[in-house]
Parts: sequence; C-alpha cells; structure tokens
Amino acid sequence: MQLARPRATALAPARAPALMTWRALAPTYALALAATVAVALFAVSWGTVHIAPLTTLSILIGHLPFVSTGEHSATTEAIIWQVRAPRVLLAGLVGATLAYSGAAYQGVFRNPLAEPYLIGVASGAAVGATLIIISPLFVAAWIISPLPPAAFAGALSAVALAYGLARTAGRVGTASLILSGVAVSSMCTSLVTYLMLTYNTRTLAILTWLLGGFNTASWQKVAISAPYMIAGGALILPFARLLNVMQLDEDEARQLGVNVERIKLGVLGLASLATAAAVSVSGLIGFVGLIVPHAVRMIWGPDYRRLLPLSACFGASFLILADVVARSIDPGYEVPIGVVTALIGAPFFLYLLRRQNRASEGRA
Amino acid sequence: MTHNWTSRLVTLLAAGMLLSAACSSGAKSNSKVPPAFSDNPTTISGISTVAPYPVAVARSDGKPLSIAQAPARIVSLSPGATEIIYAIGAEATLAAVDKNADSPDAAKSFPTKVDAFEPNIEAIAALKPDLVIVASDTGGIVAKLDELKIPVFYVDIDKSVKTIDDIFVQISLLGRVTGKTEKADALVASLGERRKKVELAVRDIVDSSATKVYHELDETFYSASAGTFVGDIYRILHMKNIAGDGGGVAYPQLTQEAILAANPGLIVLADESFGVTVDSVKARPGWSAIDAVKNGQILGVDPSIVSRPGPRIIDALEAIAKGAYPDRFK
Repeated sequence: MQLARPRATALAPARAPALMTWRALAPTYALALAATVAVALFAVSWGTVHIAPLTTLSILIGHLPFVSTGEHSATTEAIIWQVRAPRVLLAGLVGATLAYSGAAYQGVFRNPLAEPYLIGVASGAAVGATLIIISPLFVAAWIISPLPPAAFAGALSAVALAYGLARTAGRVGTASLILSGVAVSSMCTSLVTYLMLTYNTRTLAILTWLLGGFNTASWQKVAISAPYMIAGGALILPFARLLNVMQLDEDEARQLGVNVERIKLGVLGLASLATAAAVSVSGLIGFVGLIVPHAVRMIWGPDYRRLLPLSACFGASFLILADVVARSIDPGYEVPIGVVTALIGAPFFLYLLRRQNRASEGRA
Repeated sequence: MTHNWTSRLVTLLAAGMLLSAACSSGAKSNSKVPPAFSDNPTTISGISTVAPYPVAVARSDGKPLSIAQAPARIVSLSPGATEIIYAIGAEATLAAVDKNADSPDAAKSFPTKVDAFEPNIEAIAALKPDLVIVASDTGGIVAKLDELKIPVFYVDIDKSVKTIDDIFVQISLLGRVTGKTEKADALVASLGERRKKVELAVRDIVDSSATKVYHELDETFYSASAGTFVGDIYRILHMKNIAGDGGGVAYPQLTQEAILAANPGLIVLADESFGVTVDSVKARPGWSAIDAVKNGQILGVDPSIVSRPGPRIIDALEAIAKGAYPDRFK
C-alpha cells in the first residue's frame, strides 16, 4: 500500500485543510449514495412475481408518513413491502457493513488478505447460532427470534477472546491478533462441525444459516441490526485519516503522535460490532468483505476517506444485485447467495486485477 | 474462513441426508422395479410364490447384490428401513440400528446404535453384520463395506424412493430379504387398502378446483417437490404442490415471494418439532395475505411420519387428507 508521504506528515497539526478536503469529497459521496439508492429501487421492483415499477414505487411512497397512494392488492402489497423492501434493505446494509469493515480490517492489519471474519466474528456467530438452533429454546414462535442475538453474542465473545489472548503488556500486535483469531476461529469451527453432526436432524437448518442469505429478511431483522451497522460505519469514518497514517510503519505512525493502540481497538471494535450485527441477521456471506475494498482501491485509490464510504456503497450495491441474481436464477427457488457473490465477484475482481497489472507494466 | 466453511459443509450437504438439497436424478420412477410391481402394489401375491433365496437386490449404485440366505445380523443405517423391519416382524435379525431411529419405541431404545450420519466403518465391522442397510452413501461407506466383503443393501432414498409405491417396494424387498415375505405382502396390501380409501374419497376433485398446498420442511422455506414420496401425498390428494418440480431439486428452498404469490389454500407444517407453530406462521409479516392463513388452513404433521420412507407414510397421507377435507373423512 504505497501512500504519498507528504500528505501523511501534514496530518497531525493542520486541521483546516483537512476539513476542506472532507468537503471536497462530498460530491463523490453523494454520487455513490445516489447510485446505491437507484440499485435498491431497481431490486425492489424486480422479482419472480412481475410487479410494474410504477406500482412498486406507489406502494413504497404510500408507506411514507402522511402520503396515501390508494389501495393495492394485499398480495402485491405484502410482496413489495413485507418481503422485497426489507430484503433489499437488509442486503444493502449487510453488504455495506461487510465492505467497510473489510476495508477497516485491511487498514489496521495492513494486510491485503484481511477480511471482517479474520479474528473470529463469523465462527463465533456460527457457534451462537448453532447452539440456539439445536437447543429446545429454538422456538420460531417467539416474537423476537433468539437466533440473531445469540449469533451476535457469539461473534463478540470470539473476537473478545482473540483480542484478550493477543494482548500482552497493554499492546496488541497485529501478527499475534491474527494468530489468536485464527486459533479461536478453528476452535469454534470444529465445535460447530461437532454439534452439527451430533444433532443431525438440525443439520440442514445450521447449514442454511451458515451459507447465509436474505430469504427470511423482515423489518424486525432490519430494526435490530441496522443501528449497529449504521453507527459502526459513521463512527469508523472519523478514523479514516489516522488509518491513512497507519499505512506507514506502525512505529513511524507512533512517532507522528498517533495512538496506534487506541485506533486498533476503536476501529476493530467498531468493525467487529457492526459485522457481528450483519452476520447475525444474514449468516456467513463470504467474499464481499475481502474483495469489495480491493476493487474500490483499484478504481478510486487508497485514501481511507474515500475508501470507507465508497466501499460501503459499492458493497451495498454488490450484495443487493447478488441477491437479485440469487432469487432470479431459478425463479421461485433460492440459490445460496455466497455462491453468487463468488461467481460474479471473482471474475470482476480478476478483471480489475489484470487491468491494474497491465497499467503498471505499461508505466514500467 | 468462509471458504473453509463452505467447502467443508457443502461436502456434508452433498453427502446427503434425507432433506439434502443436493442434486436429484431426473428419472421419474424407479426403473429397478418390475413395472407390474410398482403399478399395482396391492396385488403382489405373485411374489410370495417365488423361491425365497437367493434374493436379488438392485442397488442404487447399479451393482448387484445377491443374498444367499436369511441374514441374522443386520445393521440398519436407515431409520425408514428399521421401521419397516419392525413392522414386518423381522426385528430379531437386527444387530444395530442408526441413532436417529425413533420409531417404534423398541427401535428408539435399541441397545446397539450406530451413527448413520458419520458412519464408523470399524464400529460397523466389529458388529460382524451379515447385511448392512444404507439409505445414503455418506463418506463412501458403501465402497468401504464392499471392500470388507460385507453385503450392503444400498437403496438411496433421494434417488430410488420417490413415491409411496417405491416405499411399498422397499417393504416387499425387505420382506424377501429377511424371509418375512408373507408378513410384508400383507402389510403392503393393508397399506394399499388404506391408500385406496383415501383415493376414492377424493377421486371427484378435478384440477381446476385443486387446493394449492405449501409443504414446509423448515422455517427457511425448504419444501418437498413433486418428485418425492412426500410430494406423492399431494398427487394422491389431487392438490397442486406449489414447490412444483423443485427446479430439478428434490427438496428445494422456495423464495418467500413465490409462496406469497402462489397463495396456497393449505399450509402443511412438517417443522413443528423445530418450534414452528400455526400461530407463528400467522404472525409472519405479509403472510396474512395468503388464503390458507386467512381461512385457518394450516396443518401440523409429525415430521417423523411425513419425512420418513416407512409404513407410517400412510398415517401422514390420512392425517393430511382429514385435515384438508374434513367433510370427506368422517
């Protein structure tokens, strides 16, 4: 990750120019956000059941406060408002969260292979979810399903454990954090595998959760997870400049007066919290958190002030579209979304990679 | 990490359990069965006159199996087969059953159990079986048993048991294998009789007035397609199964949108043991637009009856028939 040094050294004292830069970035943010909203609207109007885009829009607008757009058939209304709208919104929020968390993880670990599941979020969530699925507590009749909270708790426990194990003398080395994360993850993974084989009448339910997806999305799931995902993104953004500095050597960043430990704890904590919320309502969707930040970096450069929000928008659009494909390949039937994210995402990513390689060869 | 998960778990999935959403072959009926046999299972008296042994069995992998004499130490890795063996009075031949066997009670409390989901070849071989019944070739167990020259009665449920007739064929086959031919034929005849009664009671229902049915296997909307013995129940009842042919998958996952759009008149829950209830279905957002929910046509059926290829499938047929058409079955 090569970063212009002068900009980094200018960081610490001067505040005014930085503010101007934030403002200069506003049009980019607005454009990305608008594109994401457009993708979401398209996804809501697209589905197995053909519903005219105008009807879709009319139903959506009808749910705004103080607006009435007349009556629609109960089925159409239910499909748009109770099924598609929360499904698209949840896919967008989860995609955004995985992508900005991936960018944040890559920034903190300064490792291109870092992704939001690196230090135990996914496998911890899997343990929580599995325990609930096999337990007699798994009562789908409950008004609030205990599954997302359990997955959330599992995710945070695993990350906390990995963090605690890696911490020595008030410092957490990134290398030891990765190692303890991998160890905690494999412990959790084998536990889940064991439970799945032991309680094999529930294997399919566990597997379905692990593979992830949005078929059971609801406004309730949006409501319980969105606060974490939105707050996580909003609170990580102010760390963007410091993440830029951290792309230098950690020791150099320290010499520049950056409190590296606090950034690590803050950024990883926020990203893990948000990812835990995302995973708890969607299961384990791979690829988004790893690839989207890289794609954004290749197109728009490595500045975290741009990388974080654009990753969020790009991740949201990507997962919304992947979900559209997942429910359209074989109309009426679901295809696991993880399969789709890898199938569409990988070739696109390889295309970007080759284009970048060719460009750098051309320069050389 | 996810890749680890996915690959490892997909292998498991493919390894196949009853509800495995893995591939299913396109063949509609069981070609290994003589047509007369599957077309008219209530009159199979011809079978009993056949010389008892050797019994030839066509395995799901195409390899032949010839059983020279009545087995005395059967290890059953199939809960469905275990149920059948008890129903035809051949339980004395059992040396071990699979740990998911829960019916009848005697099978549930059977002293020796093996794990069909992760079969341990050493544990099975140590039981010195003279026949192992396998319903799903998990972890290459069939090849391992073949290597040890242990006879394997391998009938893959997803591939070879796609109709209630196929279940009847299994009962007759296991009767011949265990030397309980007459008992098995009598069982098939009485089950066939009960099915006939249901068929007669619904025979005047025509396609245009057919009830649309959604059969729920779990809370993430897995269902049973027409190409399964569960789907066969709805064919007999002249219902329109909204899972259709499953897009080529035996047990497909439906989109919630497709269920709402299909607007089923009857919802059958085979997932009550996982906590899904009539009330929880009613409370699902948007589901109040479905006719079955509006009219209270939601029916819970014991999953161990409706999801297992054994004699109790007729209990499931009768229960669903009674629930769907109470005035026709009094």
